[in-house]
Amino acid sequence: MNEMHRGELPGDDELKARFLSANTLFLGPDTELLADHRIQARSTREERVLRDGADDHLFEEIRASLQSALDEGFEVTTNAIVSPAGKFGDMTVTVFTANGDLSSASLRGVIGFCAASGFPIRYVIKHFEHEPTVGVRAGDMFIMNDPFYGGVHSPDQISFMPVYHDGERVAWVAIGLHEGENGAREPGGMGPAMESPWDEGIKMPPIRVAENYRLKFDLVNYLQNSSRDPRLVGADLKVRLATLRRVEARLLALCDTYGANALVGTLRQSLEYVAAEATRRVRELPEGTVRGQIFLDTTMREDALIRFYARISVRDGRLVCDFRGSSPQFMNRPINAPITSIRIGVLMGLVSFIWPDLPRSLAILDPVDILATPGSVADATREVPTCLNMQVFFKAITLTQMALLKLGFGLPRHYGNPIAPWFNQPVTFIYGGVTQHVEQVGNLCADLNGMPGGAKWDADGEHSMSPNFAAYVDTGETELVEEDLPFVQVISKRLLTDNCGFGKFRGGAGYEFSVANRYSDVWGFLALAGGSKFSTTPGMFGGYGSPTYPISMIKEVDVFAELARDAGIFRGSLVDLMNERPFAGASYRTHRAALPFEMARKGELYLQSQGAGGGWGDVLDRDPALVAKDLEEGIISTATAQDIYRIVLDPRTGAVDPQSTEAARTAERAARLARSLPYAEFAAAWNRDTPPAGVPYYGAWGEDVDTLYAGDTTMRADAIQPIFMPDPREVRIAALEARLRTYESC
Amino acid sequence: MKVIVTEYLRIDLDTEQWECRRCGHVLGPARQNYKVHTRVYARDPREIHKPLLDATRYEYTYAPDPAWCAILEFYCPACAALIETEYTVPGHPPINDLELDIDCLKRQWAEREELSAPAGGGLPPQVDHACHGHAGSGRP
Ligand SMILES: [Zn+2]
Repeated sequence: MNEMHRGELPGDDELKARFLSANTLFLGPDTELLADHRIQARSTREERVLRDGADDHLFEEIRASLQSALDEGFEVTTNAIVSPAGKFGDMTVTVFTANGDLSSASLRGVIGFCAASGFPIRYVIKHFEHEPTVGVRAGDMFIMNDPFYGGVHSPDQISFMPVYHDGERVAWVAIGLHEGENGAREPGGMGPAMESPWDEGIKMPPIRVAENYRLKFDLVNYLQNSSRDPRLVGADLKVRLATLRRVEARLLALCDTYGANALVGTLRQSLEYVAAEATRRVRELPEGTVRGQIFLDTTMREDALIRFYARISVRDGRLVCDFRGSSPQFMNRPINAPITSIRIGVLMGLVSFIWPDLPRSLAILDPVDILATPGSVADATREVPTCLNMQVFFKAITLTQMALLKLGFGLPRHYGNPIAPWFNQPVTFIYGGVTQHVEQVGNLCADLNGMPGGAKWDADGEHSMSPNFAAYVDTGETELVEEDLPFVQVISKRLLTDNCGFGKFRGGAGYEFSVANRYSDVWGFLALAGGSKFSTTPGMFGGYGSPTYPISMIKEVDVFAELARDAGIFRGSLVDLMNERPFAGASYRTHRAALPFEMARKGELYLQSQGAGGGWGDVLDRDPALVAKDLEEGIISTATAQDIYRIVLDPRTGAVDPQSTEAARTAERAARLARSLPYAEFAAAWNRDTPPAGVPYYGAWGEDVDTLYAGDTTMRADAIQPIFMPDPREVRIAALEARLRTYESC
Repeated sequence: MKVIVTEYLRIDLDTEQWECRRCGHVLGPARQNYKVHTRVYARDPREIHKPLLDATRYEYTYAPDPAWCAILEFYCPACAALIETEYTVPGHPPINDLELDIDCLKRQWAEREELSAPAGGGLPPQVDHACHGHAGSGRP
């Protein structure tokens, strides 16, 4: 080297370029690839097939077969998978074009995977297909979970397989599934105590875990080694491979029956149809802007008022979802959302509540643009933890749904029944420990799937029905759970009175549930919902939103021992248990609905409830007969019937008194006018230039999205910095030490 | 022509005014935020979402924290219909939640029939084959 003469070498620039192209220090995520969600250009083969004349009837026949292949894959998986979330349907089976554009998805399951799974496939095509040490071949299965490569969040794993026919790739098939336990700081793969991306367990960019239809034993061993639950990891890798093989076989059979070109044409035509139809539907909407905001009320470790702000506009045939003005991201709290997950929320809002008739496809977002401030909770960077990104993107579902309804309620045609916001929080318990079968586990209870529905424009909402992020999934059989796991659901799925969004039509009510460790010496729980101080789910057009809700805990007692002594002291609702306190000597307390993992001794009781779906319209317009029905069913209390709906009941029969009710409502309307002010007068007295003192507020205030509040300080949006929160225990110690000093100085 | 916008609001495209769908009251210019034409009341959220747990004993009770959350109620000044609720932070200016391009609305509705009630629905639209002479074609 030393003897080389400079003059004989290529120029510096060329040398540098050659060196850099041959020596990649770290390939890393591909932000450019992730940023573009539009469907790609037709491949040469797709162009040839569709140009030569698409046979619509043939394609429709193939599409129906494809759909049943995907639904079959879904059923196969739910019946074989170990992941509890997977068993209850928190998964999706999807098929892509050869270039990685989503064509169709199973009817059931989590819509988010439709917005996510194409990106890791495109990544593999772009970076690995021609990389000699990797490549892509028939029989490969890749797996990934890192959100910065297109994953949903770290507990969700996406696996995918290319499909080749006559040596040419015709499709990809994929399965996305909430796996849960992944070796993170807290069991179950997600939790409030994750303080950095490195607390969140294994992070996989796409890696090939199977070749020639066989799992690679060294990698399987590695992945099992990286989790508290090797049984889960090992078994589910096999299930994923089996499902993808099954769907691949169905696709190859379609190629044999109809010819591979017909399959290629069908896959491509489907997504082009969807993109064109979504574009047409955006053009149907009036141009304009809807603004909305929802506040997260916790970082998961401390109470904080965190703004998520949306300006959603229709202009020139584009739907622009602009989330600037949202809070800066948090350095050491897991509620940050990469913009890819915001995209998932926007798609979910459209697919679930506005255009439910469209195939579940990313192509729906072809006419959609998504904007956010990099470094905000709506466009998080890789430096911050993101496993509870649903705290933000579930609210993108709600704000998208509301915006489209505000713009489109008056249209002459709806594609889904207009509906108020669905409840939007993951209220459930995540457990970890050693079971009665001496297995180490960490995963979630399926209660998060029991979210109540919003009121419809012409009917009441459904009680605890299904999550806002998935369709046709299950809350799980209590008996099945108790067979596998050492806890008992002491109260299971009982609707809580007055826990619904009131309105002309009311939102669905949420159920209460509780868990208590029965058999394990090493067991604990965590919880990860917000909404204990500020309602998370608004109502629509005058309807009220969800109530707030805490976790209630009855500790330092073995309720099973108490009940063995006297079962009569038990109360079937958390409200009565907490207010009447039947267990002498126990400690009773409430906690915000996010609880870092803590050990639970045998017989200690943890109680939660779902929130509620939003109401629709004015409570005074509610048919008194519907109020009476709610009262009879225990959905509302007499106080609510009287004070909110202004119903007068006959004191002897309990029946509605129509004349007195009408008079009470007329009086309430007069009272509204008396206590309210004309807007200008109200605004002059109410509006403040800054957030209230004493409230830890994060994000912009009002319509100025350039100034961001961050607790005690402010920052410009173009100089945004992550927020570092002190350890809540240090804060508590400092407060106690300060108190101690006042005593010492006495 | 009157165009339905929300449960309680419509716009008269000819006069460019917001109107209450419940009582017909003319609220004000449709090119302005409808909220400026309403009466407003800041509701203590605990009146709607009452504490279910004993508030003297517990920090979190199922009622929102009034220092963090208020419910703004926007009423029709004529019939007092609750046109909109807004869950907000005390002191936060009401959000201009719905701003429609009136000229665009006029262009779009020039080709549409006026509706007497919201369409509602969820059923897929009937395919209007030209040769079948379905409703809207003007022929039997
Ligand atoms: Zn009115």
